[in-house]
Amino acid sequence: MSEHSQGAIPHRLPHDWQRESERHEVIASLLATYIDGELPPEAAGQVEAHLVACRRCTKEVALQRQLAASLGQLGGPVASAALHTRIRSALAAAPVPVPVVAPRQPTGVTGLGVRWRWIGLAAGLPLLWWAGVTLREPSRAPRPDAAPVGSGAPVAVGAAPLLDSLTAQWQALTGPLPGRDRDVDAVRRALGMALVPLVHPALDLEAVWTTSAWGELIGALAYRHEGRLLVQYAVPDGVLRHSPSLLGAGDSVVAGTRADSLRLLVWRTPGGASVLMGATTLDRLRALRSSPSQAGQAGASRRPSARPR
Amino acid sequence: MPRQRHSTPDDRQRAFEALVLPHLDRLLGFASRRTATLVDAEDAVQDTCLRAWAAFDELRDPGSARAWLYRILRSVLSESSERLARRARLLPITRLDDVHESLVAGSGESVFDEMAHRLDREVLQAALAAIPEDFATAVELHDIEGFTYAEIADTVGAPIGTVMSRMSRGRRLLAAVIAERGREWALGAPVDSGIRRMPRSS
Repeated sequence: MSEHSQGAIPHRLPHDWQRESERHEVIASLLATYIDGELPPEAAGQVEAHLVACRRCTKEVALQRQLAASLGQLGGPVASAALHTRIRSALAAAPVPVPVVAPRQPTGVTGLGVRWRWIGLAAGLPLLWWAGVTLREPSRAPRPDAAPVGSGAPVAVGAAPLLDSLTAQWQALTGPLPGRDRDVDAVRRALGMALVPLVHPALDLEAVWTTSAWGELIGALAYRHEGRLLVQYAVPDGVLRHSPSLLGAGDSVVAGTRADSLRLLVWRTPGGASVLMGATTLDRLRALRSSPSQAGQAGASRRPSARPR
Repeated sequence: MPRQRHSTPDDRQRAFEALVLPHLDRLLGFASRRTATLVDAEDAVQDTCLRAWAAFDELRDPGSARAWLYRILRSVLSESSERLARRARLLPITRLDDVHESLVAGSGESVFDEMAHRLDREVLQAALAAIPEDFATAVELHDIEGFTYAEIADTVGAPIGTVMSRMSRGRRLLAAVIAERGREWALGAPVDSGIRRMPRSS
């Protein structure tokens, strides 16, 4: 029997059957639905009328009822007190996630809006041309907040909704940090991807927690560097898909600026990307990220655990 | 519907435990039918709880917590299936269709009738493990866990018509497996309750 891909339970069955066999086939396919009481009354009545004369379907109903009853009595293991304790302990140790609302997407464009967008596009084309030339010409010193650090094509980080979302989260970190237990392993397990804390003599890991964007988990590691807060977000591929420009950067390291003083670096890691942001200079972020102890960060097995304070 | 808000972490954990822990036995039962050992099933349930904890604020309707938890558990089990699953000795579906046909079309006493009183836990678990995962999941969620068709559709992410088909086909295949293996089980052959799954229904 093919699956009812149309996805509806019929309220009544058609009366204009071409052949009795056709009626039988359709009703036979609905017997489980009938037995389970999921068929509307009118259709159920038609099935019952068919059962009076069809020995085969009557046997089928008896068979399925017997099976359903047996399965209903099937016992299972009981979660032991030890499992309850394990789970409660794990929950107590897990960081409380800090949800982030993804940036709102535009829902509609008015006629006036369309006109202004065309005007903006016309005005922006020379700028785009200038940016392209500038970014491809080393002697013209490209703006440090818009260029890839590594090899690969330049990436317009301004078009990455993910970075807007992370910026909003970074700006929301005004009170005590969540995840001060610095349980890197718990966050790593929750994410199911590589989570590589930065290791640098001038960095102190202060907190590790999970958060979310577009309904999916991301990891966050907060560091203190020269009195300033830096946050490294571990973003799985599933979230990265919301920002095609970052995906398109391939293995390049992307640098950018947000909210005036906020600088950020983005680089790919196994299963996703890392976004490092803070109110410092791009050169400082690059130096922290490219510390010799980070050389092996592509390998998840060489990750350090949270350091005791 | 608004996201859930909890004033303190303790408040959040209390709300989570009140909503989730009552389902542990059922989750463990579902997991244990898909893992090689009870320890694996417990690990899957713990992993499910941790993921649910992380995403708890995304649960908009506490009334749908059960379906939500099973969705997470299925995802956990799916990810670990390659690591945990044993090799299957699968019965071809076409042969099961023939066996089912003989059950309902024959005039005499069937093997299934003979086996009816022997439908114990071991036999049912072995039979469930011998049919494709999609069919087994639908039948288990309804007949064992007490889900409605709408809840199953929500849990497995399929239209309700698909659930109808899987219920019907699943029970037929289940009956056929029991009949097919009934004679050897009735003769005292050990019931192989090893976890084995056809990958997906087609």
